Amino acid sequence: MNKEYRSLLKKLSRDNRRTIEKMRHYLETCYINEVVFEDMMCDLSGMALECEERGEKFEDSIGMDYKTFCRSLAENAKKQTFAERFFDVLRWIIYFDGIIIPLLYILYSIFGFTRPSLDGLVLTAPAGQLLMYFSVATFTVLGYFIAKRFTYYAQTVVISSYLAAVILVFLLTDFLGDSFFDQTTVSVSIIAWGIAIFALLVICYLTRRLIATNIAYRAKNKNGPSH
Amino acid sequence: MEFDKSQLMRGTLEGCILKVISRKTTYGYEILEYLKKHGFSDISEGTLYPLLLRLEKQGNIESSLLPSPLGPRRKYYSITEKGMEYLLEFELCWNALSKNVGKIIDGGEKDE
Repeated sequence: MNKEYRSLLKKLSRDNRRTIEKMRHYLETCYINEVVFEDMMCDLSGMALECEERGEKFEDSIGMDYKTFCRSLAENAKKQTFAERFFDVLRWIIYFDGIIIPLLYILYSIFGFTRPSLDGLVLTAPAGQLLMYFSVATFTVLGYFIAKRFTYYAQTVVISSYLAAVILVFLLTDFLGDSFFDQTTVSVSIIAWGIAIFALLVICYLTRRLIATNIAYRAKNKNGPSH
Repeated sequence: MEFDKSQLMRGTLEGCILKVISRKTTYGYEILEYLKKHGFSDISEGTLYPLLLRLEKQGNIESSLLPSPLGPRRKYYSITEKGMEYLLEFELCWNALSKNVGKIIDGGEKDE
């Protein structure tokens, strides 16, 4: 969240801050355009602060339950586009896949029980094993986002299906890796890997932000002021 | 059965908010106070803010953040060209509707 929101939040009383935070958590699950969402949170905090100045409690001035209010806000706010969601998911996939190589490096350096071998800062691992790790990490993220879309379905079924699918991917890629790529090895420099992952994350963040800003302010450019 | 006023209000409130904003660039609480003063006593910030968001999303109004005397920057709303067209249509529809409803209600009283 942006600086303005954080500074407004600090000025609020404990009760109002808690209300705003509850709203933020609720609205975060509503797929609102990122820029619109930040703008909205600043607005709500500003409104809460003005309520305080008038000696009112924010929750009372809303005149309804905070969830009803948030649902109403989400209905009327600009939603994330497919591109925004795509880059959001991609960012998490990069995070998860990105930590695999350093993790393997650390595990090997400390415990020495993994299959990869080390040569200074270069890690050499079987391609099949890496394929399995990356597939499972990618599927864990994708599965999480898919499961999130089924929030209103029976959670036991959703979570069991999710876990079953992750285990299936693990077994499948483990088998494929051992069968087809067992003899192939891949060498990765930890430094180069770190730089590449960082660069990818920055590109991902900037692209997502650019799309969100473009969508949020498109209407403003289309509809000129009346005076 | 009690008459559900909110159903009737829902459609007209957007037009009223647009009218208030068309008169001058204003902010949420000022709109709320104006509406309350003019008979919309049940309205709260929880009703108003989503409607402002909707009008903004539709491109009927636009907002800008300006400093406020109370401290935090305040969102001021102004009407757009599209909003003016929407308002004109709303006014025409409302005038026709209120005339027709009036005729029926008055006619009903005369018949009795």
